[in-house]
Amino acid sequence: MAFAGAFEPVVRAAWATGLLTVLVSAALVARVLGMRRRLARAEARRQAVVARWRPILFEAVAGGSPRLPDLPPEDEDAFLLLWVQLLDGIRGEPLERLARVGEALGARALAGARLRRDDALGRVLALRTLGYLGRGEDRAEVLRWLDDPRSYLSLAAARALVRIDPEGAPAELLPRLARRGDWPVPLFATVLGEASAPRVSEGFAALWRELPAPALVRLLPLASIVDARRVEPIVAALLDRADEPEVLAAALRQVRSPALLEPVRRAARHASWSVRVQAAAALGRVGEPADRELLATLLRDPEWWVRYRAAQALAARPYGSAQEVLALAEASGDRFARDIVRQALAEVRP
Amino acid sequence: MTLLRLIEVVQWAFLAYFIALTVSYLALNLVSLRVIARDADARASLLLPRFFSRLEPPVSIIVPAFNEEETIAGTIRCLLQLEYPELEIVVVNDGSTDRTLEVLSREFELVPFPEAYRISVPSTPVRRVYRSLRHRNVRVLDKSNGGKADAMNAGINAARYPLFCAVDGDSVLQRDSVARVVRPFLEDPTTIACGGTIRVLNGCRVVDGFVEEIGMPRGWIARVQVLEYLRAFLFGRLGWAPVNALPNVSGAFGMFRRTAVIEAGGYRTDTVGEDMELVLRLHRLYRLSGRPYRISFVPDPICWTEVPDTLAALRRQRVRWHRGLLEAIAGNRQLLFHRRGGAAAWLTVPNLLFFEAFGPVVEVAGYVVIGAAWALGVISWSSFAAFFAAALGVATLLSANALLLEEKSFHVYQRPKQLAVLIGAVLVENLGLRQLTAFWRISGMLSWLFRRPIAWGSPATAAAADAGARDDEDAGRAA
Repeated sequence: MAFAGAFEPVVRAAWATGLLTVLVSAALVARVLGMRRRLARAEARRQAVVARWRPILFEAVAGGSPRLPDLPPEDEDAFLLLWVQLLDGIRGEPLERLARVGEALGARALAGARLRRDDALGRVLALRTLGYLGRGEDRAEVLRWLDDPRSYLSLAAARALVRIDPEGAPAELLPRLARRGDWPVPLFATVLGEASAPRVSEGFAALWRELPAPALVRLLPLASIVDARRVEPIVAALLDRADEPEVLAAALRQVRSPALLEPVRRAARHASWSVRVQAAAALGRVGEPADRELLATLLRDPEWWVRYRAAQALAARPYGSAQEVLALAEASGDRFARDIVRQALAEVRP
Repeated sequence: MTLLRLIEVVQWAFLAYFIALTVSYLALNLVSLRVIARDADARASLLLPRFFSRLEPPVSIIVPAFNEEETIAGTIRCLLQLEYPELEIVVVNDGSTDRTLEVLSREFELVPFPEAYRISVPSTPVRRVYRSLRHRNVRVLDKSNGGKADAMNAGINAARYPLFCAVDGDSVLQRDSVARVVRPFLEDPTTIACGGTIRVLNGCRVVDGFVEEIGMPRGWIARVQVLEYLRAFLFGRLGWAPVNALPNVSGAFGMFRRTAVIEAGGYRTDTVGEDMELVLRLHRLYRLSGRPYRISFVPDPICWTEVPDTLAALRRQRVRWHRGLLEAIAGNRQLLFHRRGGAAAWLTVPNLLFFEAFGPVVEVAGYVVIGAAWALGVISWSSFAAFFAAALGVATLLSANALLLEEKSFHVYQRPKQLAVLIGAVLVENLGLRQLTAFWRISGMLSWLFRRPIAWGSPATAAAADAGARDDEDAGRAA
């Protein structure tokens, strides 16, 4: 080919690219096949462990005294996983019995070994194991993992700590929860739900004064798992002194007592609709017949959500029969008020 | 300049483009490998039992439906079984001409509901709202036809909850899909959208609306798309997530913060790529106004969707996808290289524009130039083969890496035969289908340039045009 020489460098580059990429691709595929083989072997082993151990563990749960076979090292992970998953689904005396089986098989030593390895799954499994064994001497080890930056590890540690020390855990967990935005509050509510309720309430009451507004807004939903008598003064203080609409709205969401009606009524006239909407919802929970007119005013609010919550409040609380509530909206002469009341009534009384 | 010199320059230009494209994909691959490694750690959290505290934010699921009398009841029943503490389902009957509304009415005992319908984002008029007597959390909006984006807007207007999920009528979800995509919203309050990995439903066994057994499609057209989806999600998305520059949240299943979407003006109804357009618009609005935000991605496979299994359906889909891509970029061109645009402006949009949008042009031009040069005797057969080998090699490498990412993360396709099929698909894809797709994408570009009307959700054409069309907007774009 007469011109071939002119393209020699680019052609060489193209061949080199083709050859190199094909070789790397082949290496990758070989690696995938190797991983696949290892995975298949691990899965087969896992199934064998489940088949062997599940009847034994079930017998222990049922109150029997099964003979415990040896646990070969290659079966340890699969056994621990099965054991933890069974523990997740039971409560009370059966849980204690199953925990004792783990104890007898040396689960604590297995957990310690896994915590020393650099393997995330192993560490989570280890922390969960220590939690279910519930031995006080493991508290320090678990605490060490509570500040791990990886949220799943710290969360596993938090859950373990609550099991090991339900009384002391809230004092450790609540301040950290305020600091760590990566700890999802809804998920934490379930963790703290297993701790000592009085300690959670004390911890929450001690903490809230120190928190800046954003942290406070984030944590206030936890009030639902706190003793109402402790929550009420906190919410009252916030309604009295807070300026930020976000904080006021968050506090209004926690109103559960008629004792807080006055600040709620004030909030119903707040400039920010995000506050008015929560005030309307709070009037639905704790309002009195005297608040009918205030709610009727909110039915004419320019913001749809405020009108909606006001209508829901009127429909759900003893502010009169459906006809009376509808008449109240009709009397306002406002089409939007009438429509939203019709919707709210249809929702609760189809 | 002689013809020879010109061709040499053109060849070097092609090679330079090709190297830049490859480097960008490999960079995405490397980032994805890191994320997968980290995420393998994060999946350790699956060892943490999942209990709901009822403090989770409630979620509205919006299901746009057009002529889906066969599947809609099953879809809703399936959604009602999702594991999440507080959900509402808003079905939007987008002017169906079949018995979709009748089926819904019969299956869910619908009664007219006096909704005080508010218009936060524009949509065609809603004729009537119904509520189910069997499930208090199911409402149906009956509206005149306006297309999927318009139906989504109507659904957003009716949604009661702070987060909404966009779900295609033919999507099959995992039971914990909602719980998984909500998590980024819990971990970071600035999160405004979150997507997840979409997988191919063809060949899977579905029982009671959930995937019971994962399988491979029968035909190679669908099999190649399995590979495309692996690439598109395991590095086409995952690679962008760490720098908060995700180009798209799938329309098949994605979650959004309602207020953010309302502020952005809702879905645009004058584009066929409304999903990507919305995500780019959210990037543009938040980046340019300097507000903190995050658009997240969970690599977990959370949704399964049918893909086209005929060339004709695939062609329609790819034409539409490419046009949608161009419309999304054009509509948000202000973001391109904007000084406040961050990674979205300096990485995502340029990548979309130079590699995804213009990639097919360069690819086809390359075929034409090299083919012509070879036909004219300007280059040798071995040179021609060299370029083809390079293109094939890089494409194979990206696919092989996608297989590795899949194996490192979820290994959904567990049977050896399935893996063999995927390896086969790597070859099949590059020996015709890939080249064909490049031509189709150019057709999409032309349809965008000349503003050709594209049938979308109109009663006359939807059944045909939508077959296999409501899947992910940019699966298959990666490589």
